Amino acid sequence: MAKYKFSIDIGGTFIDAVLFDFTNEELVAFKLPTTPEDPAAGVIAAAERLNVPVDEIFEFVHGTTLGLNAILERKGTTVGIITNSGFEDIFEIGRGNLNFTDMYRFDYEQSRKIVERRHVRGVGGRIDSWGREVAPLDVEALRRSAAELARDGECKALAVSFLHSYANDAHEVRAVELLHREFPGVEISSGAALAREYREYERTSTAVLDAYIKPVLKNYLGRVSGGIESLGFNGNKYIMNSSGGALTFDMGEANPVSTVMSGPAGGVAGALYFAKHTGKKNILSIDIGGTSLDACLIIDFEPTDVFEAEIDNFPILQPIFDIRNLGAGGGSIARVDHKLLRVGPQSAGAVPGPACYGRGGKSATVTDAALMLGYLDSSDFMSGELKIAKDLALAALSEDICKPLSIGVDEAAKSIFEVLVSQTSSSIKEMLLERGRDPRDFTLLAFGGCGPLLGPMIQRELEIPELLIPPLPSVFSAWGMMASDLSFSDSTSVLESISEDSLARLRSASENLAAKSLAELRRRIGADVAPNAKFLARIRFIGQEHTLSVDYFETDTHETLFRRFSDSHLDRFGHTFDEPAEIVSLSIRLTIVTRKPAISRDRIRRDDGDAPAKSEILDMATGALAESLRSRRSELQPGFSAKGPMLVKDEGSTLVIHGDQQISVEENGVISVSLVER
Amino acid sequence: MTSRAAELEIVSGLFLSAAEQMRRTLVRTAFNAVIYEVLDFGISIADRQGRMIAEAAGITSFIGANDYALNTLIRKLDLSTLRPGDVVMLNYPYWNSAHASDALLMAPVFIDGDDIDIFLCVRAHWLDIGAKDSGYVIDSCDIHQEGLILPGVRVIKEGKLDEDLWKILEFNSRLPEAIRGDFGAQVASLRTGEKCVRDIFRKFGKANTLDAIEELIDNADWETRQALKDFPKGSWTAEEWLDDDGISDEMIKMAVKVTIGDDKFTADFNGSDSMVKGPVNVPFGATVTMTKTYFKFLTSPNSPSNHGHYRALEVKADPGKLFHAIYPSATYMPWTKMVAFEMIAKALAPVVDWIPMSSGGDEPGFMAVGRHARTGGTFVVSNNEGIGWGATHKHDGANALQHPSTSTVRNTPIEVLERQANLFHEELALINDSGGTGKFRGGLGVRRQVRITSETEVISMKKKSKTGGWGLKGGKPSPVKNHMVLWPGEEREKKVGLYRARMQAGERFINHSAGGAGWGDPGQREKEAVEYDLRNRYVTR
Repeated sequence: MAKYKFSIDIGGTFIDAVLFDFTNEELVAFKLPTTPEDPAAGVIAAAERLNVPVDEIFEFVHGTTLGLNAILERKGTTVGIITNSGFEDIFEIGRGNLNFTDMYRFDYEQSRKIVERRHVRGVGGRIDSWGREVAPLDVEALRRSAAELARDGECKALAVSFLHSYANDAHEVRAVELLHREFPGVEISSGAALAREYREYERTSTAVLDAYIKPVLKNYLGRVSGGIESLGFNGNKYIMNSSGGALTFDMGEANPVSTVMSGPAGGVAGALYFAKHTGKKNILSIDIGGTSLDACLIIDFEPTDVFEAEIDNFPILQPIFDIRNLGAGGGSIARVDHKLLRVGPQSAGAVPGPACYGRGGKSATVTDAALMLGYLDSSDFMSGELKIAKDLALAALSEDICKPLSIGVDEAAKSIFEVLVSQTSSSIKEMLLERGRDPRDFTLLAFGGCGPLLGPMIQRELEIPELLIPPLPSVFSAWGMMASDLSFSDSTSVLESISEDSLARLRSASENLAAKSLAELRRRIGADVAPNAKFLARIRFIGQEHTLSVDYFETDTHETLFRRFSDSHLDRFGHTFDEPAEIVSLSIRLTIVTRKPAISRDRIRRDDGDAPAKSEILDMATGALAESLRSRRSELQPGFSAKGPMLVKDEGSTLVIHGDQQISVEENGVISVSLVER
Repeated sequence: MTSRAAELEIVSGLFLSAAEQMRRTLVRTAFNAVIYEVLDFGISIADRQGRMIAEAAGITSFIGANDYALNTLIRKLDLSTLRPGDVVMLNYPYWNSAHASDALLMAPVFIDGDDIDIFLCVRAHWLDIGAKDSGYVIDSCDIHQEGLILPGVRVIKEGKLDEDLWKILEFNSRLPEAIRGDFGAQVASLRTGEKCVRDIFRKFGKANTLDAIEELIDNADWETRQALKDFPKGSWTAEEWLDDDGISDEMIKMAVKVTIGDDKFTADFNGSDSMVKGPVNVPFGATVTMTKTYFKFLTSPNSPSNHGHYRALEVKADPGKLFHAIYPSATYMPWTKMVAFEMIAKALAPVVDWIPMSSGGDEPGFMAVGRHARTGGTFVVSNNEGIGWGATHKHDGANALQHPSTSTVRNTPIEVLERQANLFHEELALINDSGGTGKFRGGLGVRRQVRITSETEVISMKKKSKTGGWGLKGGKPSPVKNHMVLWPGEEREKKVGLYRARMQAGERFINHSAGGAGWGDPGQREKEAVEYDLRNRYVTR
């Protein structure tokens, strides 16, 4: 019987597992330590720990940083590149720029390339910028090159990327078909298949990274599949992509680069679901964990995608949520730098962790400061699963901060928060300004283990009227994965200026694309599904390098499409032009809606510690210690309302409310925090 | 209570964020790609004395670029006539620190009362301000061929645009819509900055904020002096040659004398030639900026700048010298600054072991202008080509990066160039063996072969094509110099540096960029590195 939906998010420290029981409408969540030496083992262990019959789980959704880590740690496979002859160095040359963080490093050390130069082969054949064939593909050279690269198993994956394949992918499609057929043991990735956008280096980079992590992800998902199936699971298996969609494992294996940001995307998918269900159209979501803060905007119920995505300086042309990673988390290290107090971006992470963990960490961190100010409870941290020691926190703060500055420990701890909150809020303001927005037009949604601790302080600093804390904030990303829909995308190039004539051709292109992608999705799923379809057109003013994605409807005229693009340009850049625009490509997104859990407090099985009590915390509103109520979240009934200072504990986090804030518990168990005049 | 250390860090962070918010506003709303893609702008916040508190540089060498201009304005203007809401515009090269296309807008901020407390500055490259040629000017002989000049005048008075003045600007530009758009973006950036600055003063109180600024400047000065302690004391010199001034063929001598004392670092450019006829003269403000940028690498590459970081720096060049252009000399081409950029490195590298060897030493790019064969419209495209960077005593130089003074700029994709202009590439490759040899070798330069598909004017832009780089301790310069070969293989084949050529369909050019220089004895190179280079053909012999 199809009773349960199960999701797992693997982060740096913990495996977060969430199970929803649709029959009893009950949510169960737990955390396990990660198993870095064998990541799949941790997932299987979590499935084993479930107290329900595994064969009654109808859907499993997974988010993992495995692909991302393989890139960051250079643990992917040996990749070869096949491109046009004469252009073998495109990947190596790149765009020639340094990142802003390195801009004054005139002694810059370039790391060795992810693809060795000897593993690149150019073959004859050329398409021009209008998609016309200038020289035919040299199939013999292709065959010979691939054989050389694959010889003795040297290259286990090949990235194929030809110039102007965004305009005409005939050569690339033909090459990929031949390679699949004649080199069955080698993984193949194609730039044009992954991204129908121009800019040859960026497309090649996308294909290279896809090829680089393909064997890793394939092996991992195979192990996870085998493991949970041996426990009796026979439902749908999904992996999150980087823009909040769910892919079947097969689809994820075929296109692994689309999953690189699958972990943080779960939180945004959850935030989007939240936005739609609560009617809050603009949400600023902040996911704060041990090492960093991930911020993302939802504007008018649409999550924002990143303009030019990059992983470790490699561009990736894939839809990825615009998630800004800021160096602020529970593990952020505080230090004195001559006359200044600095906090982060260095983090003690999970190992060695904050000083108070007693795992060898000696540096003073935000968590240590929180403990000194009464925000965390040393007797019952993480529902008792982790022991923390106040004396270790005190020692670290005294040594690192109090002594060099000659200040007391409370002042040091409070100062750490003030610095952290000020710099984090500044970064958030900057991110909003890029889109011409004001923080006060947003609802703040805070989650992650440190979201309830830092969220209220960030709310105060940014003067955001409302902050929401969802149920089970510490596993919200895993929960959000349950809110994702099965998603399949495909695209085709168009390359026409917007005109009455071209709109007719666009309509027939959209019909062809819809038919082709539907057939492909049905083939991949092996079922006669009827998905929702949504078209996006990539459009730019003629002469511009970058495109904007706007909705395309089959009922569009050239006027309505141009107007929509022009409005979107005005919104994004503050101005627009009355000049010809061109459509570069058309993409389709097919979605199959999944069954999702409701947001509700009553459906959470709880175990969140001791009874209500009084404790003393530092109230940021007055800057002084104040007696405050400490409650368990499970005991707060809908309709409950109180003014800070107060603490609300749940199993994985503590919400810290200050004297100029007020909380109220909503019908669905969500806690709303507002700012009040004192 | 909050500790002073936290308060200083917060105030510093908020000013920096204010500059950053100004930057994002400018980039978001600017019309022209030179601003939002090439990041050809500089943004800064200064106190009433014109001391920089925080900045957001677009291009690497635009660090502190507004300081000289602001200080000139403070001297030249009657500040008592400025009112809240005013915006002053300056593009007079000798007062500013760049050529006439760089429009500096300055807004005074009055926190309370009648006195100016803060100055905000945004400079940005305008596409056309009425110079003799559209696009780039490469052969002007005096300032009046380089654009309409605004010598620090109020274009906005108490919040209201001076329509008369604006009409003059518009009628003197070939692209009035673009300059209106970019002007609007700059003003929006200033207004964003003003709001942020007011918030800081409100939050911390005026006296307290001003005290904090003082302490932050002192702290930065301390940081620089700490770094200077590790440098040897004495005087060292270096020379470099600029190809020519674009009018005659004569090479131009550039020289620097670096003197490091106990708490002073002096860069004296007076050993250089005097001003020349062509547009390669450098406004003194630009000389200061160029020097600050290399000084930053030497002393504080990882921290955001304020005035204090440069208190120990002194830059000298007498009026009339190449590095202190005066009226009416031509200053349009900023290449001199690039070719001269590593002179300080050249002077100090023999005595400071971690300074890198020379890079390719130039920004050897090109532009193409013409009528598009397919769309019929006019096009202007440009590409900044990567060069090899110099090795250090610890590692090889990087391959194919932009010139260090423009390290965040990107090259233009082939697919963009071919779509927007009558160009068809036949090759883009690293030049094997172009890295100077050494225990650590220099990075490789780039070769680009292009065929013209319909009549197009090609402008090769190089100012260091006649001389090579330098390595130390046995390291060699790159065997390749920056240059372009026009009509290769034909009888009229021509090797050029700076050159404008009209080319027809089927004709070709090959652009070459130099590699970086090596460090140390090539015989000492590790076996593994030698084999890696051979295997991957960075080195073929």
